[in-house]
Amino acid sequence: MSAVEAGELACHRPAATETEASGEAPAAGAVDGDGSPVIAVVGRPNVGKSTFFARASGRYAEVANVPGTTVSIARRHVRLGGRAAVLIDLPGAFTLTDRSDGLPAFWQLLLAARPDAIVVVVDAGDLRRHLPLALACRDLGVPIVVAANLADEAGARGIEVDLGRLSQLLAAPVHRTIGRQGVGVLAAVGDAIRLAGVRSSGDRAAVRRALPVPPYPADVVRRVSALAGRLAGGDVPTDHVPPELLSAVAAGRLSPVGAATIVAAEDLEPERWAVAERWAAQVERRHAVRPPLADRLARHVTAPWPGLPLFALVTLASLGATMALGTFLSNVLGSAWSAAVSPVLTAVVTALVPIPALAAATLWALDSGLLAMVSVGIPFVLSFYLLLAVLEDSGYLAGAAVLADRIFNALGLPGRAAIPLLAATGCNVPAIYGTRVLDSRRERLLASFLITLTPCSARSAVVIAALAPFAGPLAAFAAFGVVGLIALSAGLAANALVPGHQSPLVLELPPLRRPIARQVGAKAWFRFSSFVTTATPVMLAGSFVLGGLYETGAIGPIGDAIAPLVRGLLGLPPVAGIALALAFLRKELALQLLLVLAVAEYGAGASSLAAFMTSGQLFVYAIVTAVSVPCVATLATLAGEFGWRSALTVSGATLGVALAAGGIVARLVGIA
Amino acid sequence: MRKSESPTQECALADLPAGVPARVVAIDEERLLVLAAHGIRPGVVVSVEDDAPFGGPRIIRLGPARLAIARVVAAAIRVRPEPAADAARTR
Ligand SMILES: Nc1nc2c(ncn2[C@@H]2O[C@H](COP(=O)(O)OP(=O)(O)OP(=O)(O)O)[C@@H](O)[C@H]2O)c(=O)[nH]1
Ligand SMILES: [Mg+2]
Repeated sequence: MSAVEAGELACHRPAATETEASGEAPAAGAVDGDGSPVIAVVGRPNVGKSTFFARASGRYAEVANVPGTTVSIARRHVRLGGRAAVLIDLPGAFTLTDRSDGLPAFWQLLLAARPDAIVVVVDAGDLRRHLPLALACRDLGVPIVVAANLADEAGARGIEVDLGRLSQLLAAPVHRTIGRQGVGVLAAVGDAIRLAGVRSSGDRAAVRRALPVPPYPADVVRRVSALAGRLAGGDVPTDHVPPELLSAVAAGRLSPVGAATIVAAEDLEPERWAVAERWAAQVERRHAVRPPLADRLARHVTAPWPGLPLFALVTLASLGATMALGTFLSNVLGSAWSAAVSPVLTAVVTALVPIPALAAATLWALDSGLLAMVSVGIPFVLSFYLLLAVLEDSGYLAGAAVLADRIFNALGLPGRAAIPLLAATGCNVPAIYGTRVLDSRRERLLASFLITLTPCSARSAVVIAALAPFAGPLAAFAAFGVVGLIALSAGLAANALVPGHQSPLVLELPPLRRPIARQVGAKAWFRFSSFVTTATPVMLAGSFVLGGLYETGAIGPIGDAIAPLVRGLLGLPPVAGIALALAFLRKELALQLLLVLAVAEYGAGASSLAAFMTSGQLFVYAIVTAVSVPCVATLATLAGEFGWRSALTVSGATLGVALAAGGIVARLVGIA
Repeated sequence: MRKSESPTQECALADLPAGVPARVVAIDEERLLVLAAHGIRPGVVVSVEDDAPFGGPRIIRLGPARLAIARVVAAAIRVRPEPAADAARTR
């Protein structure tokens, strides 16, 4: 992921307050700019909202079998049976009043989207825990459609739901859906569009003065109605009512009754759970079946035996597989490039560009630059994303989070932080957004610090590609071990330095699921193609600049200037310092530019790196790259989430840690 | 609190032996909201499936759901073991 995407994501951040500030709702009511009704997809974490959203809109959306995958709002135009609508995917919510500090409450996100109808996605196999949210959405006064999702898994567990009866009880349409297969998805969205149409054309005067067929005890209903009356009259003790709620009522985006159910959420929630319990008992039929294999296996993942050895095995196997697949792809692509593309490029550029120095610099970019991309960036990043997608979709990550809980406690974090941290091995940017699922700013900051110390796929590519071929796979494993140790000690220190305490783990474990090839492929491909499209231009420009410096001889003085630090402290050739510094733009530049330099010095062929640096030097270089300053996209993300001061502190800390660790390792391996 | 010998006495969820279904009777104020959001509320029946290694979280079953709950949190939940026949009827 790149700076551009980080910026894009940042724009999609919970924007409740901004939208509130923009004032009046359009006269037509809560409809999108072009008049299409807005349909929000709401549900508990990991119930399949994004899968539903992707199916309904026919396009990829980030999906994973861990709670907390979606952390920002996505909107898409859909067209169904000649009617247009805007579909909105939201982060998972336990209740409408969910919030983690520093971020808006869930109802604020929801209201900012101005939904005309809500599709509440529930787990057909666990209605007791999913219906309360559906009730809460219905209480808002926005029409709801319930998608009884995961129907396939419910069936496999012997659970059947009487949908007709449930629909009667809820006074809302209920659809049986299997998001993964697309079953029922379009029908549910179609119903929502129909209901939304009724609402936005319907008379505003008909705003209900009471809860619809209230299933709650009379005294609770009376309290809510009284509160609604006061909200409608505008006389409310403001310390009990958030201003955003009042302005939503004033703008006609929310009925007073709906607003009252948010204010009185603490009274209503226990009633909703009681109703859910009753209704679930009425609509569920259970057959005794043998538990599915996945459920029987799930237990073993978190148990000390065989959970722990399995954890070690999965970690090593993932690294090993990335190395093997990456190295294989790298060899194939690299030699194809040198044999077929390189000679042609050289001939063409030399013929077309008359000025020799310019031609040389252009070749640096087009030939060596793209070669480095093809033989390092692409193979390792692609293999890595494939593996990560398999792990994410299997549901194994949450199990790993449980096993690692105690280690994370020492770092001031709940085990839940393991999930964004593991995602950070793909790319740090979404991982930092992923920390939004944590409870406090302190936890989010500590986790983000660890995330910046976690080698992302680009940095892992550098470590693997620099070490595996020239110093052996063991050296690469060792480097990851050293980086892990560095992160662990830095995390311990940060936990001791940053004041505050940690909240303990409460985490729902997703079931194990067989990853679907199509979904794994789509996810890896999506991430990979955004990597290629954003990394390639930077790679070309970086190589061109380096080529210019080299061809004009300017590289000499720069090298001399940084020599004390690079050679003195880290024991590396000074030009390597230039590659390290440019790697701030894109981490994989660290190796690609080194290769480019090597090619310039010693001619084509990957083995030239070995002529350029000793394996000890490569080891130090790999570790410093893996740990030092995050890339510019990560820095921008940190600044967006925590402010520039924290972002610069975190980056500075990683640089300090990297230089210190690099210096120590350099002395240990005897190169400085 | 020490593990109770007979699994019929009220105890903390932290001390409930694995495999024994028990009804939640009370939850400390401080943990109430977080647990309630996950569906752990007074009146529901839970059981302990396993314990994560190194004093890590307890794995709790609540209907079809599995939840990992840190020990300090489990200590804040009071439960009473269900008589076997009752437990079968509840879910
Ligand atoms: N078997 C089955 N799996 C499903 C179904 N719908 C979604 N899934 C899987 O459930 C997991 C979670 O799906 P997501 O769409 O990411 O869930 P989400 O609700 O968006 O999750 P958050 O964004 O984390 O709140 C993925 O592994 C999906 O493949 C379904 O109907 N049946
Ligand atoms: Mg999602």
